[in-house]
Amino acid sequence: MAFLEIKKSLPQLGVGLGLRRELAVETFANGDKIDWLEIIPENYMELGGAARERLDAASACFPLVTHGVNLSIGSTDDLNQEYLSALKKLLDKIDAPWWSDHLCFTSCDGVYMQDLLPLPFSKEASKHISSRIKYVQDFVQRPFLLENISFYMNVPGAEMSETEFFSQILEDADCGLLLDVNNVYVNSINHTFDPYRYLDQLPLERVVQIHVAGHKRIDDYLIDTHGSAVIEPVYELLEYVLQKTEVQAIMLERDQNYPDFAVLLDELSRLRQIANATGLFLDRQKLLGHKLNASESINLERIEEISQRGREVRALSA
Amino acid sequence: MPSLREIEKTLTTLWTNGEARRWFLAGATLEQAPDSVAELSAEMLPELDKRGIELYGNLIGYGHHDVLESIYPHCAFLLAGEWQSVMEDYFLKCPPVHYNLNRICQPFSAYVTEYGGKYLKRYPFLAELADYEWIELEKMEDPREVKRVGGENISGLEQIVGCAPVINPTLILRRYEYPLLEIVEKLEEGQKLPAKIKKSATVIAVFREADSHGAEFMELGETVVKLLEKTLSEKVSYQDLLLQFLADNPQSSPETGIVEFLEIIEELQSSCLLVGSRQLD
Repeated sequence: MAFLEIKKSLPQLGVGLGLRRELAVETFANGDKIDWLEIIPENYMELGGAARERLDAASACFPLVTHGVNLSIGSTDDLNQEYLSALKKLLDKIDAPWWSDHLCFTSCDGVYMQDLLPLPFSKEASKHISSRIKYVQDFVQRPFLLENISFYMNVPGAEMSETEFFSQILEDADCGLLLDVNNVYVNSINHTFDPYRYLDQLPLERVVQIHVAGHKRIDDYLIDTHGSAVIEPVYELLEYVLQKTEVQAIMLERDQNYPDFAVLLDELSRLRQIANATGLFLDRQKLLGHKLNASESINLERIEEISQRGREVRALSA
Repeated sequence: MPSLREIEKTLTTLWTNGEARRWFLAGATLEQAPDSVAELSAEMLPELDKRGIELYGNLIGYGHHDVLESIYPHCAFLLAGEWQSVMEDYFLKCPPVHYNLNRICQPFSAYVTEYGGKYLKRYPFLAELADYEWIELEKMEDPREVKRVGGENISGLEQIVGCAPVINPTLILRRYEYPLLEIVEKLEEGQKLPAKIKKSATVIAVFREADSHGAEFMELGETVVKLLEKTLSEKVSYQDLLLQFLADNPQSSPETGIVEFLEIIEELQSSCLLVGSRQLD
């Protein structure tokens, strides 16, 4: 089935947050204000102990989707079958309606750099990535979304613009788009382009999920840190996209420099207002379904106990 | 135009190899290039953005160093001023070949053993300390489920003959030449280590606790080690273990020996090295 047909059958998840160990207690405690959670699968694949218990609790309370950091879809290395098998097992366990990763490479010659690295906007890269996306979609048997990254240098070998490159891959692979509006903003400043024109050049009808985040200026660059408040121009880009297309989910990314949780709840509330203004996610009970009850009965002391120690991957790039 | 493969290899080398990056940023000629740049695409180099290469080099290095330091805080503390160069050398000698961020730090103890001669002279226990710090994380993340299965209390003859202990699936035994528990305790309390730490062979059980999911370290005596090694290596009943215990402790009367044995089993059960008992087929 073509992706745009599949998109029509995907559930409306609403406004969500990333499940992070440091925020776990507040996240569960505010289950009535958070519609769904995104997890970094590498923090849960083939891992037991506290990570698994936290995942089980989250799965009982919220719809979950994964947002990976090491699929390395743009790498010329063979796809890592061990990784894919572990990811598929996790996706099946949480019954994710879709999964996503980044338009980048993270490994070369088997070495994982653990960062989201830019690619040349070339025909060779486009063809290579499209074919790999088709393979992973077939293997995982769940809809795949590809996300635009923030990048801090242009890679030689470009034969087209970023939007042409991205669009060609999305069309050829026939997959979904995870649009990060903060990345669009950050790139528009670092590489001096009009972010609205950029958005107009993408097949926005393929957007299923949107990421919203904060960034930080370091020397001459804006860096996608996920460690600051969302700024107004980024909210405006979100608003612009929602006026053009219907999406299933919006997610606030926060990975460091955690503020009081009330600040994050305010940001989530703002995202909801913007979505509601375009007619999205108006029926919250329909979004949350039976999971709301599970959230109310969660043992927060236990969540706190199992979230004291550990180390998780962030969404990288900073 | 270089191929995608050549582009990725060139960028990766410049981002991850400090020597190659310094050469590139200095604008030196190909004749002056270090061996590590042999596979670079020469035609790409003039087109590369130096600030971008430097920024990604820093971001990747920071990510790698951050995780290594978070897993090995005691090693980092002891190596202090040299830690930065140790981290850089470690990732050159042991490139991160796993998709899981934490696992890229697994070979650090082996690295210290192979390349850390000068540090081992100062801290001869350093490789063991690195192993200790790694094992703590590994046990916390071990994918196997630690679950109490019942039958923790062994008292009657029927249970001794008809039941077998169930071992904590995450349990491993580590034999160290140095008193690691004492060393770690001093480091955690911020105490200065003695100038010379004498060898003192210890066996430490490392395992994940069923309820807290925390990694536990427990120093064991030889009698308990033998019981656990037997349990780990073959299917044994409590009776088999008891007979071994009595044979290894001929100084005790059989009655006293049985009581001592049951006390040990009770201790192993309560501390979660054993997670219950199962009926023998």
